[in-house]
Amino acid sequence: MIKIPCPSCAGELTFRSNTSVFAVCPYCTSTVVRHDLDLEKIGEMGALAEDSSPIQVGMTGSYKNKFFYTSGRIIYEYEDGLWNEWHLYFDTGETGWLTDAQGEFAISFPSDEPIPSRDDLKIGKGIKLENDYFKVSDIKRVTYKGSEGELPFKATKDYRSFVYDFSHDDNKFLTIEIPEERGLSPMMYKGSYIDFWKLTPQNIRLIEGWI
Amino acid sequence: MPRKIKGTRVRPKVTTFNCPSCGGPVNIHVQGHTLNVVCPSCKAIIDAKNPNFSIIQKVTSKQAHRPFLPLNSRGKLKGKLWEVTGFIVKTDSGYDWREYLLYNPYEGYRWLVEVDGHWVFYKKIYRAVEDKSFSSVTYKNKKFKTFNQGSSKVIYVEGEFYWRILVGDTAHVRDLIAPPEVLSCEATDNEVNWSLGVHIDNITIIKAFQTLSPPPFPIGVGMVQPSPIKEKLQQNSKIMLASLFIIFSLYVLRGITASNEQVHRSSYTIERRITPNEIITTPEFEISGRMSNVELQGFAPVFNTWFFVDGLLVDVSTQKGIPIPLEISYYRGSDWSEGSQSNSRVINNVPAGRYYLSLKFQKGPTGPDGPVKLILKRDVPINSNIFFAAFLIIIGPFFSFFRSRSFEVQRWSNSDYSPYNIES
Repeated sequence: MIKIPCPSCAGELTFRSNTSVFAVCPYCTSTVVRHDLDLEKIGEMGALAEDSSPIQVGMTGSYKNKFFYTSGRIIYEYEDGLWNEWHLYFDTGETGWLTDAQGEFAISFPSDEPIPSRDDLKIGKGIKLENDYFKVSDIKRVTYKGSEGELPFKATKDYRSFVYDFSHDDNKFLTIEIPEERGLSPMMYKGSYIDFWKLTPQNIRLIEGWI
Repeated sequence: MPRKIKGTRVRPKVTTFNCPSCGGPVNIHVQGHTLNVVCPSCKAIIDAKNPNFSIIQKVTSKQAHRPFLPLNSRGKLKGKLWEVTGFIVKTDSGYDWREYLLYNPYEGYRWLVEVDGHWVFYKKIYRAVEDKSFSSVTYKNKKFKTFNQGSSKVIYVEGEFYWRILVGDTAHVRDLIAPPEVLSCEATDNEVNWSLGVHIDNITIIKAFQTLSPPPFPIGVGMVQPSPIKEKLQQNSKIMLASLFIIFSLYVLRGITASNEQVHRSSYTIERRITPNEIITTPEFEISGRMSNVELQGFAPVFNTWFFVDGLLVDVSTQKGIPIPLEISYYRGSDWSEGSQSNSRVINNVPAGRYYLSLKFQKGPTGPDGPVKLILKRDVPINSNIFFAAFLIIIGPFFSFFRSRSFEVQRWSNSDYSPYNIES
């Protein structure tokens, strides 16, 4: 863990992971990029809109007996709404994402398997990964509406991509993100839908009237 | 919710604005998820994502529908707290039903659907496999049978929704059942949504939401209402099988342990004419062992006539007799027959001792065509009791089966795909 002052407001910025390259200052919402031990301000995030998520930066929990820490999030916006992707650092060194969309939660990890080409990704089309059969259920054009905390890549506002969601018969989760900008490589994340409380979460948002 | 959870207390934020159509106040309770919100005053549908809260659709339905579960009321179902955030009335050419959208920030969304006073609690699910058959679908190793398909049209909305909703929205709907569960599919041109529902009885709904108004009266059998008889039948069937097994074991055991001991045997040639009231006594014989039953077996070669033995088992020491009458009759036509040339009679609780038989014979117009044989046995296994017991055991479940079937016939009477169609 390293602590570096914010280049804009001098507030202390904490990087819990050496793999984090991007952060949003919690005091002045400056977006900063880390060049090893010095930070460069690249913009400002502004306040994020209020939402109903029970998750916040700093939430801890466990998944398959691995302990995780929630380092940051990206808010995805598409035509029909918003959702959150929370970035997780596991004590095993792995990183993953906790999807938080319309009250549904899923945990996923980057997959090394070959990513199908865009031409094969049409709604209703099926793909087989290892022994799992997935079907394209949704294609969304998204932009990053905002981000906070510390992230493993530059998640600046207005970054655009296509997100492909898949359905599976047994609650497994698969999503592919293909950046609009040429030259950036697509990413595939595999995991499963989960019950929020099964994560044994701590340091969550305790929403009054519900807890 | 697990105990001892730490975190940051937050108060849920409610956004309030004035309806751009009628000026009345509109609230948004579910920040971030709500995409469309309905003005409580003029029922206009408003875009919650648009900073100016633009109107998507003005009031189109004249008829107001009152939700049985009021908006923003809360209730605990399946151990979780839910808030009613949306109410939709849908119709399939005049046949209406009501859908309540439920929300919990830690659990997400659920639905309560009320049709004819029967309630189903739904959760969204995902399916990837292509279905090979229309009549049934397998989900998580459970087979669901097609119950209904049709169209749905939104005719009334209230509250807030996380998807774009319009009065007039149509979809193709299909229900497949495996009571108490149902798999429902709603398909539009753009998407196919599956959900898994489970029957909830209306008492549970009333208790959960503590509503004071009477719930919609349940009509007929609900689509996935569990059959009270079927459950009992399954339970009883287990008891029945166990009982039958015990009885069968007793039967086998009795067959092994019964001594079936012959104590007397005699044979009589019957004259054409019998002297009325002539008494024939057998030699004395010993009945030994513990108190047991005694069986008189008789054989008479009768054909289209009868023979009657008016027997008395007499205790030598007390001279008291136990009646042991035996009738043997056999009739046969070209394609029928009745009776048999042999018969037997059992008397119970005969103590050990010395006995003889006192016999009076009677016969039909024609006599037996040969000698009549009589055999007396003690401690015989009695099968008729066992068959009677088995019959008593089977009869209950047998009737339950028919009642259970009639419950299912009633359930499927609302379906176009009833497996009971043949007899309707």
